[in-house]
Amino acid sequence: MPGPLEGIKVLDFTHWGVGPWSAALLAEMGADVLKIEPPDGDWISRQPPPYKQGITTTYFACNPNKRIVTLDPHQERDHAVIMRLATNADVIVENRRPGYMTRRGIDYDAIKAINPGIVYCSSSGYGYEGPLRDQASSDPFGSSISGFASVNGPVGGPGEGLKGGGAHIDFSTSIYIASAILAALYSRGVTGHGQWVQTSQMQAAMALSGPRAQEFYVSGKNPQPMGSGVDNIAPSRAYLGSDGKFVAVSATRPVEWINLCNALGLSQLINDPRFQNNAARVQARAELDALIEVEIAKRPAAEWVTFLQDAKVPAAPFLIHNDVRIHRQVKALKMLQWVDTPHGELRLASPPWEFSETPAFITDVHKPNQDTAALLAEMEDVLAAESRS
Amino acid sequence: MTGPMPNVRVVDISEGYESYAAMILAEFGADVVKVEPIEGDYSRQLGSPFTKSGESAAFMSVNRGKRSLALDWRNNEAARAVLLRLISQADVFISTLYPDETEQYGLDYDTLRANNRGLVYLAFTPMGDHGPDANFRASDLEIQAMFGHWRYLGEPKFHFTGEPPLRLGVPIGAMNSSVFAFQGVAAALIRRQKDGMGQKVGVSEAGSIIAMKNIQFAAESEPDEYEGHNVGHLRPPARGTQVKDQTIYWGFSGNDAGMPDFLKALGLDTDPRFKANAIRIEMGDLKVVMDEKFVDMTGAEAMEFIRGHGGAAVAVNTFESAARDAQPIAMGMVQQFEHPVDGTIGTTGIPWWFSETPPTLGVPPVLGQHTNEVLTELGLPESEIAGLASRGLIAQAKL
Repeated sequence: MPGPLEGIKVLDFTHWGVGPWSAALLAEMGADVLKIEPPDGDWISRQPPPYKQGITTTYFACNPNKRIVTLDPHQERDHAVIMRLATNADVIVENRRPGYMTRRGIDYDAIKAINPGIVYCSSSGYGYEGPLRDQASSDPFGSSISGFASVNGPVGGPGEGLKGGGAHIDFSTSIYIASAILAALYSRGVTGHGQWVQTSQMQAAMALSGPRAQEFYVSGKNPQPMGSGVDNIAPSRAYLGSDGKFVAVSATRPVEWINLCNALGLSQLINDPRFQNNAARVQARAELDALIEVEIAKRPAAEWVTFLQDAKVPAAPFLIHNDVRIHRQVKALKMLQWVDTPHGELRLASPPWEFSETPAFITDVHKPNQDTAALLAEMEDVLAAESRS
Repeated sequence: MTGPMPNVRVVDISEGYESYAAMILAEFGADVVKVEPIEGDYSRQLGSPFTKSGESAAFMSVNRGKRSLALDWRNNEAARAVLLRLISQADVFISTLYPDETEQYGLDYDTLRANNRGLVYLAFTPMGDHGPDANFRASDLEIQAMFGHWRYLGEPKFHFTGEPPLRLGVPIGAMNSSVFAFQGVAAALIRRQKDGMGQKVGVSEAGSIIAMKNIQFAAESEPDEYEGHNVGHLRPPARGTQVKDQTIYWGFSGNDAGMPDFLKALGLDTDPRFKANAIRIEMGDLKVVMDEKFVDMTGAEAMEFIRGHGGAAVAVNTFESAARDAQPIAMGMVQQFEHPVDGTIGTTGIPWWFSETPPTLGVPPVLGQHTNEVLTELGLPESEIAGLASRGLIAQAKL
């Protein structure tokens, strides 16, 4: 059974990680995605390591299920090919800086003139207005300007972003791009019209941080880094087990607080006014933590996970990737999968949606330029027929 | 009728930060009825901070644009029948129940589909709605502990000396997976536009965060040959550059072409440490040497200098300074809404611009603000609504 976006044609002019992965999400939903790279290619295919057959694994991870071609919109023939493809496309997505697509004659106005139904999505670092519209961005920039980094780190610390390799804001931007495209496709189904939709890394990072920013807007005070904890929920942090390992324990719902008290043998706390609801527990955090710390210190962390889960209390171990890869739930739901490509086997994250009728999928990953010759052969016939008629 | 997804009827029983999935639909124009317990979504209790009226920032941040129906469907059959009737007329049902709760309340897909063939049913869970750990209890912290980025925060020594692990302050388990959950619903609705076919969409926070780390798992396809992402956690914490009056983050962002001129302007072009080609300033020790050149500048001066010489720079903002920063303001990311009780409240803007069907910033509802309105629309006679109210099975807020 094909994916939910079967029949949707996407022209993908993105580069690096953010844009390509947004189009990859559409491809995993069954859209027909053609990635069009300029003659100098996509930088992320060359850096950072590691490599499979000379191409970075990051490039492969960001570009599954696509055909990948090299075309130079500055060349007349290639521009004609692109415009012909755009005539039949449903979606164009690009993450170049403002002006790049215009200089190549493929901006929204140019495409709209030949295909008014086009959903054209543009994403940049900071958006299309304001003093930073032309500035470059990458993960730590988005993390910094948005406030996202300000609530991470040890208690009393200045806040910090993720270290290299985290790239959480990069790929968060990807999912805001894909969401804009989906909403615009739905809108087209209602109105029959296409449109230009835009987002940016800064906006994505700010939206993602919305809950914490709202704390500032309500109180006038900035939420602070709280280590493994968070300043509006208690209890919710890492506690030390008898084996020197940490276990994450939380009680965010009222029933979980009751369950936790009973499981820890602290049932007298259930009706203790100091801890009667989350708001009270946040105020009495130090007293509360002292009581819980004593109990958790009595047994190894892993035992607590089992014991507290049996009592329906959120509790978990801190896992590294080696643990995640063999986690029984990760395996049961195939959250990771090996994709057998001509360039070697790759372990990729599976599509994050389970559709009962139109499953998402990953079939293959192509290399840069892999599909150029086939596309040009196909398109030469089309263009020749057009010029005859 | 405004926004890209007008007239989509959503029944939303989600609670917590996961309510964000349905908020995206609401701000895109869908009619989202949030069905809350009589005591309200538990996230109304997550704080401080609270507003003067006692509303939590947490709730307000992920429920804008919804209507609230307070209904005791968990404990009473008549109330549950009201919920089922609502769902039978909906396009989308959104649930964050654990699978054992779904079974307990008879809200599984097959049951609901029987009365609504076109229903798009979102099963939005921490761990997935099937498999051996489907009922594993997890809040955002537990998802971050198992699948998140905790190794990429803090001093490297943390991981060897028994210091506690750190979490990302933003509840990414809930927020990122909410965006994926929205996508799943939107894609199913796009597919449904063809022939009316409904379906179930499963989204887990575990699967979502693993997807967010796709490049890391791909890089580890051959872990024996590669240590890059594995050793990322051994770097010092990423805290930006402290200048005279603030902290900034700056770099050349992958393009080092302008670096020689930049070094010259800093007076570092004759420094032998900078002679090597392909300076990777974002990662290297040399960044520290360059940072020293900025300590006596103000943030504004340093950022102007860096930008003027081909680099990129931003303020490392708190939420307070982000709300004063010219760039977020220019992009409409600093907004406010008029709350029916608390008045004007600041909030984060919508991260999308649509040329034809723009989304609308919504207002978070008071608990039970729309109870009578929604039940009347559903076709319940006044006498029945009064009866439910007198039995305490519904609650209508008095504003």
